[in-house]
Amino acid sequence: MREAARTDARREFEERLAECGPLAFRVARGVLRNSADAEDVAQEALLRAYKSFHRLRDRNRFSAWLVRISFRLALDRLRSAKRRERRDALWSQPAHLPRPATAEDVAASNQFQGHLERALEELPEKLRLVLLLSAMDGYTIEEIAGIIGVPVGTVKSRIFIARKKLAEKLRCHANTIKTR
Amino acid sequence: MPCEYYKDALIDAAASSVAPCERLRAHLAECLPCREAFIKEQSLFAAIDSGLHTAANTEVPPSLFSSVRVALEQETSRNSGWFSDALILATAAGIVLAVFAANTIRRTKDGRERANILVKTIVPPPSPLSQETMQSPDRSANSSRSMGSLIARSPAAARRGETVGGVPQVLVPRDQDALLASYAKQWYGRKHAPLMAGEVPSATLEPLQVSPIQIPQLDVKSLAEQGSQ
Repeated sequence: MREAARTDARREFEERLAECGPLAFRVARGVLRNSADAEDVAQEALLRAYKSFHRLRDRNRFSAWLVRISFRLALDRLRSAKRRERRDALWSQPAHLPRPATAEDVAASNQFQGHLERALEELPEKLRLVLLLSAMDGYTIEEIAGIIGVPVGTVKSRIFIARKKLAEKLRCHANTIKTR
Repeated sequence: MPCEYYKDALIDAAASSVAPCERLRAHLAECLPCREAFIKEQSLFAAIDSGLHTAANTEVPPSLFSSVRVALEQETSRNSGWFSDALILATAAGIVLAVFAANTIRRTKDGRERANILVKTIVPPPSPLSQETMQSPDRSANSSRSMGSLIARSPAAARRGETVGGVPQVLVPRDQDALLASYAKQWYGRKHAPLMAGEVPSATLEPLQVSPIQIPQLDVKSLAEQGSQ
């Protein structure tokens, strides 16, 4: 009986995996700006979600729940990476060598994109998550409000504030827009 | 440089997707620097949106699903492994307990049977005397107390309080059988059971004479008298 329940939960989870796996990955990618790390985080988030899947009463809230897990894990990893970077910079001379670029980074190398992602990283967490979700394909403002658990008006105002903050940070790099 | 008065309104208008208000539109129509600034802001926000779209819609690596499935598989097998381990452990514990219980029951039954056999084999067929002895439990109890080690109840029978026809069963060593019979005979003849080693004559037990303690009177003297002496 227990085995049958587990099999059912597993089947249901796998059905949701195809829909929510990319969401978890993209949220993590938006925070970490690195696909390999984002994949690890998404995997961990999905595994955690699977472990606690039986405890989720409202299965319709699964994507919201997964987004929160993924976002939190990505932030944790980002913070620990930053701590590690600072620690390494203390011990290695010359200080702070840039992270070696992956093939994907090279392909996506674009001055403005780099500035944008750094500016995005500096945004407060709640603004960043809303902005990332709003930029993703297939999510309406209402759905984002449902995922985050805030009113639609709050989502709209957060998007507006976040874009303005990004513009403030990127205005000095506006000349690079033409080079894209 | 845009006009300071319209600067914030320009940015807000570019940031929101709605068209600028009537007043701003009128100003933009007649102010070239503000128009240029507005176009620049619009392109900045468009670039931001485009960049965000790129950042937020990264292609999902196909390895993600396979690695998640592998992790899920491991997790499931770990769970079921844990469950089967627990099941095996519980079964083993159950078997051990059952064996232990069966062994204990068998041992108790064997002990009881062995005690019965012992009683049947050791105790000789009851003679009239010994029958009398056995029919008067109180007396035999008294006598057993005075006899000390001569009469011993079977420990198992004593523990279980087994009786035959309401009389407690006793085990009597084969060599002390005659002794018990003679004791019982004497006991019935004299009402008071004699000690096997012979009775101590009452005359030898004279009361102990203790002379009263003599305490001399205390001679109390004052310190002054003592000093003069």
